[in-house]
Amino acid sequence: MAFFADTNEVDKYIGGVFRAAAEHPESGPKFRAAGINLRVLYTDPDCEMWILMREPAMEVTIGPSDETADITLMMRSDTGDKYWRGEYNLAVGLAKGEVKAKGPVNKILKLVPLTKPLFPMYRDLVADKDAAQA
Amino acid sequence: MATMKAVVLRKPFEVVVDEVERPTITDPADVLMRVDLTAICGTDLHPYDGRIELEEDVVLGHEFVGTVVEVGSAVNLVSEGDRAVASCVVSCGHCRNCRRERPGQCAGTRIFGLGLTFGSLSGGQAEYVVVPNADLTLRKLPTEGAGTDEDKLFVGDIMATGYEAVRKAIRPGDSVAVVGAGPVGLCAAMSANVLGASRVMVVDKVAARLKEAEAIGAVAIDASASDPASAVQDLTDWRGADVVIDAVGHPSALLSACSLVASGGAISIPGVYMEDSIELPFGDLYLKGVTIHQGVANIINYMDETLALIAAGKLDPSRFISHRMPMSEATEAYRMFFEREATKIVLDPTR
Repeated sequence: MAFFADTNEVDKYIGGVFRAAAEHPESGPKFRAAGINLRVLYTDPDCEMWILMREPAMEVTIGPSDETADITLMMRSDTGDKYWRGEYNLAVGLAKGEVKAKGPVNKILKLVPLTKPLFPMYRDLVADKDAAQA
Repeated sequence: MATMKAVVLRKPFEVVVDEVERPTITDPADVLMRVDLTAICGTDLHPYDGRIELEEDVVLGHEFVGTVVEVGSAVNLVSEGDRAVASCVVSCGHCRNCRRERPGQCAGTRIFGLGLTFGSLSGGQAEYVVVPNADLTLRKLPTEGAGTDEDKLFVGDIMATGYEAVRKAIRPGDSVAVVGAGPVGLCAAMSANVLGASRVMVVDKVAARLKEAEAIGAVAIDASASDPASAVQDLTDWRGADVVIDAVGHPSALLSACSLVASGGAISIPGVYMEDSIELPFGDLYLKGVTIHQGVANIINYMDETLALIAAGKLDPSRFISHRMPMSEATEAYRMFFEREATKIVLDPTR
């Protein structure tokens, strides 16, 4: 059974951590400075998420967009959940084909380390859902 | 919780030796090794000076030899007590690029000591390290023939990297120019001699490094005193070098390499580039029909060859070690290496 019930939950929790990232004192400025349009296609439940990392404000939206993606990632929503909990090795996931990526590799590599300080924030975000499922 | 001493990068320019959690086997293909020797590599300077941004508190290091102390249930080729060297790059062995003998371009490339970005592998500048996919990543150290542990240590990175850079571009009798007489450049120059170069030229500005290049039979070209392109032309009957190795990884070095290469020649780039784009004299490269080889090194493809050549007494990269230090002095070692006060530093994790 998938962790997220529907698209709205993917948006609430994974979209939520990106929105929180925008406000993070260390990661926020770095994400905005990256100048990258990230598109993530989550499946089961399906959710197309756009993260526009740019000044003056990072935007996180759901659904199709007229923007052009610099990087597109595709993964199951459960994989996204495990990644943000710090329990999923992205390199291994890419090797297994569980995560697919399009776009310049050097830009992807620059984004990855920015996410680690946000793992505790994500675990806090999903704590209520974890408790409800326990 | 078992702990160990390790070299930890807190943030750029802040390296400390600290007590951290000892890594444990988490996959049946893993091996736990006690590190006997480890080295600081030029690539370690990328996170050190912030060119590659890592998360905080990463255990550094990807060049090491050690002794196997625990093996996962799926490991067949090494056993407890074996001494081995690990490739700095860990590949999956199964993806399309691995099957096409391009493990450096494995979809799941992991590199020790480079944080979450490269697969969260704790580094080898530590008392212990876990090596994933051990049957693929490790090579047992030969016990016969020439070569010391210090020679074999470099098979996991700089020796295989320098060797591959030349090996995939050279024909016997070619002239080879190496831009940058750092450890990888010197290993490339040493490899060029073994792989049949008619003449090896090494370009740098640091006198001590040029002296080392001369000691292994290369022609040293001091870029601070003469125009390298002109010097290489003079040494190659105005042709340029058949093979040029960019062992620096800086746009100025790549431009220099472009000016040295002969028509019909090749530029091979073991240097690391992360730039979004670089301006190159592309018309000149096109008209000269220059082939460019580059990318993360395919270390495991060349570990057996370089180990055999070390055992045969034909490669001896330990000669490039300028400093041997206790791991407890890693903070100072990193400073020295960054300031180019050392060519190559080996650390002893037991001290």
